[in-house]
Order: sequence, then structure tokens, then C-alpha cells
Amino acid sequence: MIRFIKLTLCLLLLVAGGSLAQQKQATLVGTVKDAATGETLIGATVRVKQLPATGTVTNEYGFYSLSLPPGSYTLIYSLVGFSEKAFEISLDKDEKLDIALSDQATTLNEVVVTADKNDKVSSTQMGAEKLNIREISTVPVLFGERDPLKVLQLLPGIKSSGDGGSGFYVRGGATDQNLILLDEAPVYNASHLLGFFSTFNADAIKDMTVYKGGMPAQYGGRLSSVLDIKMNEGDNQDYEVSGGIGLISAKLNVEGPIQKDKSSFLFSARRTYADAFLKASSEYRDYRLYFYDLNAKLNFSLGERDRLYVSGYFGKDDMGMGETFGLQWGNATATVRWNHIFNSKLFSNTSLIFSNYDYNVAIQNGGNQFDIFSQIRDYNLKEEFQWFPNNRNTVRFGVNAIHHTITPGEVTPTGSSSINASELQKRFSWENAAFASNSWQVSSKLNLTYGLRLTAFSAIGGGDYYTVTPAGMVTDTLHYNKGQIAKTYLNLEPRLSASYQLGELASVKASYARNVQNLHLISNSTASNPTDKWIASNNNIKPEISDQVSLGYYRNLAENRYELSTEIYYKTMQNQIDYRNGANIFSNFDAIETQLLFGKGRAYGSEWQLKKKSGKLTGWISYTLSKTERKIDGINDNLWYNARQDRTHDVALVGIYQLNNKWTLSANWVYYTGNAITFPAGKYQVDGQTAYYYYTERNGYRMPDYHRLDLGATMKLRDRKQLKQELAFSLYNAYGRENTYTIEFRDSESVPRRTEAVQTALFKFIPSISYNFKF
Amino acid sequence: MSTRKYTAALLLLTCFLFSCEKVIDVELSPADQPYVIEGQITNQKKGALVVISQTTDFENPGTYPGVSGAIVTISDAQGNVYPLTETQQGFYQDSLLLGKPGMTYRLHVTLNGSEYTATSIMPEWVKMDSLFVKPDGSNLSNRERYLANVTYTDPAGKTNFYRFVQFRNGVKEKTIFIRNDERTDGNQVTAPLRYPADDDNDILPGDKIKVEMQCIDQAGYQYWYSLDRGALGDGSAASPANPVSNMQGGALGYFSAHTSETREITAP
Repeated sequence: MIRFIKLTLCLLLLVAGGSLAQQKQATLVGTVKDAATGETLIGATVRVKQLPATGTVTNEYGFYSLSLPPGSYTLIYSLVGFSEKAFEISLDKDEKLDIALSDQATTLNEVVVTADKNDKVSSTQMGAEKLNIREISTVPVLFGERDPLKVLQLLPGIKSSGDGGSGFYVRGGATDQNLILLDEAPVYNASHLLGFFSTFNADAIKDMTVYKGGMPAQYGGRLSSVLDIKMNEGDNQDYEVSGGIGLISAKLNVEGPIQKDKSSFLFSARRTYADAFLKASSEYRDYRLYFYDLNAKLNFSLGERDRLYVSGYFGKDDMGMGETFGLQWGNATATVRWNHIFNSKLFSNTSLIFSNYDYNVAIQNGGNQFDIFSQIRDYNLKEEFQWFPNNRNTVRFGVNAIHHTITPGEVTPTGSSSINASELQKRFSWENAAFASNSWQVSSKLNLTYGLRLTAFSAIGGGDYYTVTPAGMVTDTLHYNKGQIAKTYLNLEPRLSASYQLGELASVKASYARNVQNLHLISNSTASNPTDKWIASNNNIKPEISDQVSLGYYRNLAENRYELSTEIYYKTMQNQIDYRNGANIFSNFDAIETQLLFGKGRAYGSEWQLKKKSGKLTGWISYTLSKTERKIDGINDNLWYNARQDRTHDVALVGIYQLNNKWTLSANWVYYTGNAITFPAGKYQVDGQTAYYYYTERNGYRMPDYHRLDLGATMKLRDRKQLKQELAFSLYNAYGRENTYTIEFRDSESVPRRTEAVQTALFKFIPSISYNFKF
Repeated sequence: MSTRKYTAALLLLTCFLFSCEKVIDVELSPADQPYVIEGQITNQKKGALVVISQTTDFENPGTYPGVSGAIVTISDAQGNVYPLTETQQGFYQDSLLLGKPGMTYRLHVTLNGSEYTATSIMPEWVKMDSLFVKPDGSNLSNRERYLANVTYTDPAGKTNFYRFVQFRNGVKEKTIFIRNDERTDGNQVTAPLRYPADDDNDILPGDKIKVEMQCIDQAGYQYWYSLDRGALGDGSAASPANPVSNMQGGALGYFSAHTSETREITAP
């Protein structure tokens, strides 16, 4: 801790030193908003015409602060999708200037994409991909349901976990190594319907940014990526109702001012009704299969200096078969945030965050009827300051404390049953962090962002902790009382990134980041499963640690109409977790670590993207060449083996064509090398029964290559007064490729004594149509 | 009790609405062909039996001739050694050897210059209270299905593991039926023997149903559990693997000292 404080002091001194050398300055602060709705705009650029090297970007609350020597300036405010706005100002003392930018797209779903001034070439962050909802809305998707997570998977370095899964792999990481934040609240299971949909309703989302590397110091807790999703705040100018009706789901979004210009609300709801079709069939009448979710947000301006946001998400999935089996799961998050502007140079945000994920399995098995309930619940406090000492430095520092409670499993008999009530020990832990970083504009060409994050993870009582041998046997049990610390892990996470402009058109960047993860998801299935188990680090399960270096080159081509970006990365991972062969992870084990093995991983690759940013045709081509391996004692003779998500080639092509005012056409095509998979080396019989399979090498084979084309078209219908409406058509898997979902080995049904490999594919041609409206 | 199976069934339902299956060609590289040694000793006569066969390549016909010429012995913790004799190709037996609950047994096999060993403890004998056949009660499929149910009284405060083997008109059901007492310790347990709905061997009225109940040790449970999860060629298991076995020396298979009790009824 002392080391951390010292480093922080050094860091701040460095900033202060930088500012001493400068002349007296006046500071301009303000908020940039959308003129039509009053939504604050994230990442809007503020430039000074007279000082080309000077500028800033609005933060996640639309706030900016810019210090300049006294004088007259022309300020230029811009953001992709909005008309640029210039403002003359004569600055001799600190001033406040709020700006409203007008939307270029005036219709419901029209996407006018112009070259983004705050693009990859000029931004200092690397390894980041930003998607705004406009980009998401026209890409064709499964069942016509706009899904931000699926669009994300078309970007380089971010790979889909396959058909029927909304999990994703970032630079070789596993699906649980992504920190998914919805208004700062961690979302533990981002999937609906076993992963066919994600929990994010595009209607309620304002902005999403994914960091694949060089994560800023304010983020931590997962190894591979940070996906930061921000909900809309709600229109504080006018009431607005929008919605959509599709083949399997419907949604409605209502927003408006509570008090014009000062406060607003947003409420968004979604439900699928595929179960209605099941009810209509005599065979599947008793099946349940649906989800719903709600997003709500309120925000209040409390005077000039304070702003309060309250936001929440609630989602529930229900699937089941009559009385025999039922599975319900869902996330709930709530965030209360308070922005306070101390002065023109110091901005603070205080967040109180609640996050919950739980599932309940109801089983009726013969005469036995019982429920299994499991939960992970967080209370989270985050205090962050942004300090703008001068226009060359932006300092962020803060603290974060999260209390986790994991309920691994409670069994409750319902009705007559020979099952005993039982409960696995609840697991408690504290995840605390302090962080500081500075973004330093060293010269007009060189930018440096450096920071440190200190995390302290403590596994605490009450409960029993175990001493476990490498063979997985419990040799000793230690009891800890409530609140007593069983084990603490301190980790220092340095974060560093640098960018250097090569003229107007190109830049190079480099970054290094260490990340630490203390919550681990244990899964034993290829499909994402709601009953996958979250476990926390303890005396036996050590924190996962990753170190990543990356290097990138970015260039704008053809008068900024095209952008080429390429990054290479190398990442090592420690304390990776896998299950023992034959592990029973769903069983009644308090000492889950007896079922686990530990090892390391490495991942490296190069990512390419060529993006066309303006004109009637926009879109991108992305390509990733990569390798991901693991080495775990007790698996594959302790040799390196391909991780399941190791895919050599991964290509995505996305095109959006604005045909005319009425029609927008879109297409995407993806191709990737099949997942690494274990195939049998032979077969045998047991107890007179065939066929059991003999395995020699973990993940030694490949699934067939995956490729798929999706087509979409959006037709704008005639406006009626306030009503804007459109029809969206999509065709998923347009050429009907039978992509492999699973490969099963079994005795042939037609040829006696023969064994065959059978591939199952999901989704051949899924057409869909949906109607969207807004008034 | 397997939530995974139910979830898989639901997932399959979802998939059924859209999915399709086809047989594909896979090229599998040949590997070594280890022996498969299955040994057991029970508390019943003719219970000491060791069957030896061999793994074969995936492409080969699924015939598994017995392996002759092994020297097989079972010994107990009191130092008695019982040699087993080959009664037919690959079958080694001692028809007089009777196992006793609580005793530790050791299997020793010498075959082609290699030695294979395993030990197992015969658990205490928990007897079947009853065997009956009744409708499934759940509507996992849309036809009336009958299941065999076994009832027994689980001893309180002890860890017990059970395996059931079901025969319908003399044909063995392939499903691996195992149970532990994690959630049923000390209770009167009714164990329905639920077989997959897509089997074409539904129990029908008038069928002769025979069920063997075995009390197995933990290693045995581990073996059957991991065999069921990892070695069936199921495509949804993330990491198929060879089952966890008590067999030492590089052979597949297991050695189990278990109690055995068989009952037979006619399905109503």
C-alpha cells in the first residue's frame, strides 16, 4: 500500500511539475448535449481552431474542461453523426459553456456516417473499439433483434463463441474474462435464452466501448477485456414513444422530461413470445421458453454543479417442461450516481452499485421435487475524480470497494420428497481497488497515459476454508468467523499506453497492461449455461493474472474516407483454471477447488481492419490471425494445447448501403477457423455395451470452418405527422451454410457395428421481419 | 438429477425448431490400443469376474473379442490370493469366491508382459426395499412411459453410492444409472430409473423387468460418472476425456467390489 501511495504521489508531482512551467490560464468547462433530446454526448471532441494541437474529449458524462491562455478562440465541437458546431469565445477568466449538437440523421433509422474526427488515428487510447447505436442498428442479426453484443463480434480480435451463444472471446480470453458493465454495474450473465440473445436492449443503450488491451486504470477485475455499456438518459426535451414488433419479440421504449432541460426518465421493456408458438403445438404445449427485460433510468440536474442518475436493469428468463423441470435466471442491476463539479478543474463521480445474478432450478423427478437456488450478489461503491490541471494533463484517481456474496447452491425440497434440504456455504469476499492515472500530452505528437491500479482481494468468513493437496484431497479444514479474513491477495497493475502522431494521417501506439481477476466462472459445457458457477479466489484458487503488450499502426486514407488500423498483441496468463477429468462441478462440494486444475495460458495475434467511414456505402473488413494455448498440469500430459477458442483465421465483412431515402441495405459475412476440439482416438466396450470412446489428446482436432452471410434491408415507411415507422427485414445465414454446432460420435443406426460422427447445425436460413415505430 | 441433461434437452428443443443433423467424415489419426479390463467381485456366487477386451480404431467394426492369455488374481486384505481361470475367451472367473462387505480387494492382471492392478473396498450392503414399475409422471415425452423404480433406505451419516442395472426382457439398458446420497442421506429413497425418451426400448405392459442394485465404492461411482459424462461421444461436453479409473498400469476399465441384489417383476 505504501508503495502505491508513493507512486501516486510521484505521478501527481509529475503533473504538477508540468503545470508549473505554464503561463496563467483560463479554464473553459461545460457539457456537450444532443440538441434534440438533451442526452449528454460521450467522446465529443472539442478543438481550438487557433491552436491545432490543443483539444479535449468529453468524458462519460459529457463533461469537458479545457485550459487555455487568455485570448479569443474559435472552438469547434464535433461528434460522429452530429453536425459540427463552431463557437467564438473571448476567454479571460474561467467560463462555462454548454453546447448542444444537432443530429444529422433526422429519421428513425437513417444512418449518415461521416468521417469521425475523433478517430483511431488521433485518439490516444489503443485496443479500444467504440460502437454507437447507429452503427448497430442496420447490421442484420438473428431474428431481427438488434443485439449490440453480436455486432461487437464483427470487430477484429473479438470472436463469437458460436451460433446460439452471446459469449465472446477477446484476444484469446475465455468468456468469463470480459468485464461487462452496464452503467458501471457488472453483469454476470449477459445472455438470454441460453445465449441466443444478449441482455442488452439496443433501444436503451447509448454507447458501448470495448477495451481489448491497454485498459485505463479505472477498470479492473477481468483479464481480457472491458465492455463498458452506457444506458440512454432519456429525452429531457420531449416525450417520445418508440417500439418494435418482430416475429418472436416485441419491445417498447418510453422517455421524456420530468422537468424540461433538467430531468428526464427512460423506460424500456422487451419480451419474447416464442412460447406462444409452443403453446399452439400439441407436442410442446407444456414447454416454457421466454424472457423479458426492463431498463429504467432517471436523471436530475441539481443545480449547476450536481447531477444525479438512477438507473436499473432487470431481466428474467424462464424455461421449463411442465412440472418436470424449470429453470429461471436473471440479472438485476441498480446504479445511483452523483456527478459533482468542484471547480473548473475537478470533476467527481460517486457511484453506488448493486448487482445480482441468480438462477433457480426446479426439478420433479419421480416422487422427488426440489429447487436448487444459486446467486452472486455485489454491493459496490466507487468514487472517482477527474482532475484537469492544465490542457496537457488529465488525471483520474479513485477507489472502489465491492462486497461479493456467492451462494453456490441451496437445495429446498418442495412437496413430498426424499431429498434433504441442504445448503452449500455462502462465500464472502471484498474486492477493493485504488487507482490513479494521467493522460499527458507530452508534445503535439506524443501522448502518454500511465496509471496504476492496486487491488486487494480478501476471501472472508464466516465459513470453512480447506487445505487441498495437488491431487485434490482435503487434508485440513479451517473455520473463519464472520468478517474474518481468510486470505488476501494484493496485486499491482501497471497500465501504460503511448501514441505518436506521424503527420496528419497516421499514428503509432503501444501499450502494456496487467489485469487481475478474482472471480472465475466454472463451466463444463460448450454452450453457455445459466447454471455455470461463479467462484471467488480463496486460499487455493489464486487470482488470474494477465500481462499484455500491444503495438498498433493507424492510418487514414483517401481524404479520411477510409481508416486502416492494425494491432499486434502478446498476452500471457497465469493461474488459469480448468476442471479435472471427470470433475463433478454440479455436485455438493463445498471445496470446489478439489475438482479444479491450474495452469497458464498464452495468446498472440495480429488484427487488421479497413473501414470505410463515409459515403453511401460504409462498413469494414476485419481480419485476425491469432493463436491461443494453455498448459495445465494434469491435462494433455502437461503439454501446451490449443484452447477451445483458438481460431487461426477470423474474417468479418460488414457493408451498409444507403440506396435512397427509403431503403438501406446491409450485409455481413463472417468466416473463421473451427474451434479446437477433442476427438476420440479409438473406441471400446464396457459392461457389454458399445460404444465408449478413448481419448489421447486434448483439443487436437478442429471443427469444420465456419462461414455465414446475413442480409438485411430497412424500408422507411411514410411519416404520418409525428409518427415515424419502418420495416426491417433480415435473412440470417442467407446461403444456408450448415455450420457445425456440435459433433457427436455414436453407433450407426443404419450400419451395424459401425461408428459414425454426426454433426448438428443450428439455423439454416432464418428470415425475419419487424416493424419499428417512433412518435 | 442431472440438470445438465434437462438443459440439454431444452436446448435441443430450441435447436429442433431450426437445426439439422448429418453424418460427416472425420479423419482420426490412429493411436495405441490399450486393453480394457473390467473386474468385479460381489457378495454373490459367481460374482468374481474379470473381462478383458481391447480398444479398436474408430473406423474398425465395433467387435471386441476377448483377450486370452492373462494371468488374473484377486486377493483380499487378509492375504488370501484367488487365481481366476479363463472360462471363455477373455472371461476370467472364480465361481466360488464370495466377497464380504467391508473387505478391501485387489485385482492383479499380467498380460503380455505388462501388469495392471486396482483395489476396491466392498461397501456395506444396503438392500432393496421394493421394485415396481409405474408411469413416469413427468411429460418429458408425449407418450405414457413406464419407469422401473427402486426403493431403499439409505443409512444415515454414511456416504453411500449406488449403481443400478436394468434388463428389459433380458436386454440390458444402456443408460448408466448411478446415485449418491448427497441429498438423500438417511432417507427412504425412491429411485426412478429414467432412460432417455428417444430410446426405442420403452417398458411396455407385460415386460419382464429385472433390476440389479449394486452398492459401489466412491471410485466406482467416479468411474461410472465420468464414463457417462466424458466417454459417450456427446458433442456438448467441453472436454471429453477418459473416465477416472482405479486401474493402474495403463489399461482402461475398472475394478469394483460391490454388493449385488437382483429382483425381477412383470410390468403391469
